[in-house]
Amino acid sequence: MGNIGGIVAAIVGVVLAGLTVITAVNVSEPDRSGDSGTVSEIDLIDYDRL
Amino acid sequence: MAFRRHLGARRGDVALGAWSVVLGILMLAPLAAPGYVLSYDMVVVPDQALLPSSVGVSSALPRAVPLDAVVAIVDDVVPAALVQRLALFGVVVGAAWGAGRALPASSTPYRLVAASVYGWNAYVFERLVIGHWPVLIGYALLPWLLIIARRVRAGQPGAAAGGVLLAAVAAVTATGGILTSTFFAALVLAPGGRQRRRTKLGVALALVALQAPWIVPGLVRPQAAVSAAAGVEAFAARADAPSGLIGSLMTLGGIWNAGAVPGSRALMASALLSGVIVALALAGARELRRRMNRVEAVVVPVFAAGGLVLAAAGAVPGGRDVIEWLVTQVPGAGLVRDGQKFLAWFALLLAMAAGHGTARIVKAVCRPGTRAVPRLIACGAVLLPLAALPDLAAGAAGRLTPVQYPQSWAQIRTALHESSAPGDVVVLPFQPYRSFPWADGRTVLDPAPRYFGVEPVVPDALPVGGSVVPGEDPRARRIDAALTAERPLAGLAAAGVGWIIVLRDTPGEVPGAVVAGARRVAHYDEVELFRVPGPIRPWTDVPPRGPIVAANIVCLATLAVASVDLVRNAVLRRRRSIGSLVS
Repeated sequence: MGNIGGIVAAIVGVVLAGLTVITAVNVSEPDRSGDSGTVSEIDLIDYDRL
Repeated sequence: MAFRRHLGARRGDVALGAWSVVLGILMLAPLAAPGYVLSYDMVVVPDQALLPSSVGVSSALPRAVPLDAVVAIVDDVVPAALVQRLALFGVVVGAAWGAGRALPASSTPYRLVAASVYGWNAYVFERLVIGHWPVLIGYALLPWLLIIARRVRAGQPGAAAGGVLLAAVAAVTATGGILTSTFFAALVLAPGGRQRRRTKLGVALALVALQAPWIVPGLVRPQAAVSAAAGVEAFAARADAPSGLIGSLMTLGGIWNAGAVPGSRALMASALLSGVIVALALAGARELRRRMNRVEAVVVPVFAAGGLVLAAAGAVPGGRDVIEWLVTQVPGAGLVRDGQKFLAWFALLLAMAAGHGTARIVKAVCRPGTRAVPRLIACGAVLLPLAALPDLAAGAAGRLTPVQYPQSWAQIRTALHESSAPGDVVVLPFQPYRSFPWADGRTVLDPAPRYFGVEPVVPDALPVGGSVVPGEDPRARRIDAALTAERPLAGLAAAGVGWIIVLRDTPGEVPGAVVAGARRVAHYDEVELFRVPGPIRPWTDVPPRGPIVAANIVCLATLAVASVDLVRNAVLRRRRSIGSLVS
């Protein structure tokens, strides 16, 4: 269990590290027109009235 | 052996405290610069005045009561800019530290995981950026109240008083009071425990008394404290991540205002990392339940579930109808229309469960006796919240940078204070939010009403998502109508307004007839001060002062009794420990 567990942990660790890098690289210019949908479409404070 | 254990625990506490401070520094480092952080509802001014409206003697709903009064008093002793920094830093460090300390029967690495999850998440980002720092005070105090409730239930003298005093800090606003007092009350008043019946009664009465300064102004105001149904949809939680509404809420996001959402929330990679944190919590939920005492094992999950339900209610059919009925029919129920803030209870469960989940993973994948892999896994779990939300660093990616008020504001304030002419003030354009070039164009609740130190009339109709959510203040509505009427100045004078301040460096219209007819008293750069001609009729349609003063006296007396009890028990404990050393 220990060896297999260690290998699984290492694979998961590599995947998480990859996701971390992807997040960090893209966060400076977030693409809000993607999957989240509502974020890009709804700008709830009405700046026109300000 | 006992000494080693004690030393280990002490080192663990130091590590937890140090990590919490590191989180605070990473998040709020830009606040080292001078100035004031202005972001949406977060408004701090150099010297806030103590006005009747600060305690709720106003036609407006008591939204920042008694917070405004507390800030006005405290900033006479400590500079407001320092108060703001202490509050924000205290919130972040206190939340993380408290969550780590609250984790029952666990070792340091897993306490650090709980600290990271609770101190660094989308809820903290969104509530910081939207400026709801009083809500975050309640959030930060929840784990500490859990710890104190354990002591109360163990019969420790003075613990109840300590809990009451902590709950008082959060009760500076209605939401903070509800978040903390209901949670603490449920933990202390639940059947069982070694606390005396007198203690339970005392805690219950004290917690109610702490809410009096904001409840009473709402109850005794001439109009019912109900809100418009339109606000329910506007302030409902919404998906801010690829995981949809429920996924957004489970990962502690989903605030109604898209402008307060971190950019990383839109990324699939960030959503997956946040999902891993939820998976860790699911893995540790059973172990957490096993290690909590019988009452906690019920109260904490029930509140967490309640928080999730309240957060989602306004956004789902059926739930929205219920919330609409509540806010339009039940005075004060408008507090639940922005239900996402009640995720605070869920966040505490999530953080503690994630700590135990990490321990379970380590136990499952590592052979007994190995050290390196468990450390790596724990280290990864501690850093996971930061990896999922990197833009919370550096002042929420620059959104919390301090700015300086222009010199012209101070000059206008001086001019206003040199006059003894009667009347309240309105600030034009008559809109609740501003966008100043000197504040990087950020949307910010108008600081002018708090800055100039004269009783203001503030518009409370909110332009949201292309429509306007009606306000609750009849006086603000009357002034709004007067500004577009044929004789606006007569309308303002009849509504008790003697002063007009015009801000020229923020978008919005200033009615020409108002400025043409009024007498200009002062003009510095982009700010002008006008006097409304003729007699000013005082505005008397406000809550009566008597009950509000009584409510504040009751609250202060409660604080005094709790403080005396806390000190008395601390002295007794010290005497006992000295006595045992001597004998």
